[in-house]
Amino acid sequence: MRLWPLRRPKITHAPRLLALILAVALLGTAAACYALPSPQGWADPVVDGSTIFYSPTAGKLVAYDRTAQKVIWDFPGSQDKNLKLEAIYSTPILDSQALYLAAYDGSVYALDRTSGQRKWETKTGSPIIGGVLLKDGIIYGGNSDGRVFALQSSDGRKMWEQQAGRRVWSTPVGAGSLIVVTSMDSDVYAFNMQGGLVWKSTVASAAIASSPGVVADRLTFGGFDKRFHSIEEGTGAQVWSTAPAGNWFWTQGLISGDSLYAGNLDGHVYAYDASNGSLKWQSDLGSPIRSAPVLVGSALVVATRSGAIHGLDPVSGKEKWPAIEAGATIFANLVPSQTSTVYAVTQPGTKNGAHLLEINPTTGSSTTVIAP
Amino acid sequence: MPPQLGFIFDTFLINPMVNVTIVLARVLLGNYGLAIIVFTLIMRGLTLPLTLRQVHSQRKMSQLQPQLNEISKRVKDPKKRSAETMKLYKEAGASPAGCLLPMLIQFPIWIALYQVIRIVLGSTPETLMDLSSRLYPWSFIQQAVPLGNHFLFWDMGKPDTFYVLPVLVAGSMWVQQKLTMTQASMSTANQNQAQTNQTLLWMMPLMFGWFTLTVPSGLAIYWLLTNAVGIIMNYYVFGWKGTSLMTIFVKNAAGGSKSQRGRAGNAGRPARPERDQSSPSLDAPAASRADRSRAGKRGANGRNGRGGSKRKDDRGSADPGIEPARPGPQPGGGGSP
Repeated sequence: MRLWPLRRPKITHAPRLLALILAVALLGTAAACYALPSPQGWADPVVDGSTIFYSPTAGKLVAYDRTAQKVIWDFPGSQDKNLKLEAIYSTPILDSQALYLAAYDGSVYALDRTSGQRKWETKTGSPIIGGVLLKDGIIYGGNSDGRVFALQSSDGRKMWEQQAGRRVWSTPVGAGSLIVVTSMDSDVYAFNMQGGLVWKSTVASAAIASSPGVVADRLTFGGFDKRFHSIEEGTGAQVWSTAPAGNWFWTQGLISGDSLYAGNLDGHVYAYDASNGSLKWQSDLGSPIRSAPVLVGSALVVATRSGAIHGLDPVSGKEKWPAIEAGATIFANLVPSQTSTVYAVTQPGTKNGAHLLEINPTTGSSTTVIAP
Repeated sequence: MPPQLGFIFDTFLINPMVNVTIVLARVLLGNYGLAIIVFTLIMRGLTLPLTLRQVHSQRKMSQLQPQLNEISKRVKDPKKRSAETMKLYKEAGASPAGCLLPMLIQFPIWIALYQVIRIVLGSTPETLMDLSSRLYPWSFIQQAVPLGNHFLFWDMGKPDTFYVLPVLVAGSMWVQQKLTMTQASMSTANQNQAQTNQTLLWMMPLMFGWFTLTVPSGLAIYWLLTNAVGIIMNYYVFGWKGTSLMTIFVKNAAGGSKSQRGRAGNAGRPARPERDQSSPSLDAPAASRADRSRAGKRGANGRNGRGGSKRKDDRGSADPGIEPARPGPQPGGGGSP
């Protein structure tokens, strides 16, 4: 069998050649235009005095001195050139000695707060999207394989590991003596400190990506079934569920007084009665909402995917001041400061990188703290 | 892509495919790999008329090659040659575009499926969030996501790191192309045409094999299945009766048997029409020579090698799969030798 042309062929079979050229052109175009997306991350900024920890680009964390207006350290730094975090979705947490960071590469890192030097690293085997919880010297987290882990904060040693569905994309919360996680298989799991499963709640009928909120003896969370739910902390039994909204809930609910506020991917902010889940009001902000709202002073501050930051009256839902345009996507949660302002960070990976804004919720004015 | 075109593409192609594949996955126990398999079979079924038309058109084009060669030799003026060529196509009912149209229809599906897999499998939170705006408002669909990424040992949302799919896709495409190329197109009597087809025979599979290295495994599985169905279709429609794989893959490419080499002497003569589409008569021209020989020996009664009593000097046809060029007498009929 002749396997190859013996000499350069004359191209005479036009239709097939044309088909070949078209195939190459179109598939090449498809590959160029629709390349597999890389993760970008949406970690919340962490403010510690004059130091701000945030992620300016995908897979990078920096410590920024706001007073000196310069970067103190970055991670991975020059000594970690081969380290690729890919993206940071989880918000770093601090204790007196260290900063703990979970990354999309599936590892949990402990860094020295002042220098950014790596103290230890523990691999979990799968991307970590949700944040980590530090409680009594133990770090709790979940990864995209559905594994919930507990690590010793001093050295990263794994204390226990349990399965909680197929994916855990939320941050664990401490509820009394329990560690509670929501899972993308629609269930809520409660473990004791030793890793034993205490209860599993099957109230929701679709995936849950948001972290639960804890108020008194109840847990609240929203899911892909377009509802917000309230369950008993001790047993996981259902207390109430709201009527379906327009799309998925991906934000953590904010409970203040007798109201629960949550943003939805349908672009609305919903205010529910925290005691029974009935709807108080809803306000259309025109763009999906993934970041959790904050209540500072008398303003409910909400950021949308399009980068618009709104200040709403928490009683009526009406806008208190014209929306501030951040000019880039906002997925990270808004963070209240100790001086009654609000920090908002745009998504890393957007043009020129993330930038950090400080909003005055009383006047509706904003200041750029860190420009890209 | 212009916004309007993007909107049309999303609304009428991507979003329906997203939702259909999710429904299939939900029905098939949450397995997106099975959903892609079923989706492929559905798409092949829907495009079956076009595919059959393409296959017929390709074969007609190849069968006309000797006549096209004759026209090229006879008519020197390019305009007149073009006119006679088009006249020949029209008379034979062949169309160069008939080869292209089904493939052109498949291209947007490939591009859309590439997007669909990327969106549906939502391996990053951003892509999963994008999915939320594309789902139809039925709880059956809403409750299905996120879907599992894995099928067998592949992550459907990522390229195959085991390099199995690129080999399978390239190999299956090669086989499919080989089956669609008739003996006439591979004949050594037309050296240039044979070489062109040889080039295409290898270039397309290698190109798609290379693409498979970069696209999600789910799309590669779609291509593989599309090729497999095409092979079965080609072989079933044109290649079952009397045609062996050996004939197609070994005799075909080697310049073949004596009968095939003998056919070189027939170059330039009008090709005989196929008697039976379901069993391609690869050796039909040789059959005509054998039959003329038999007819001369038998005389007017002309028995063929099938019916009636066997004659001592009846050597029969060179290949049991060959159809007679002329219908013989009824079995048992006819006179004595």
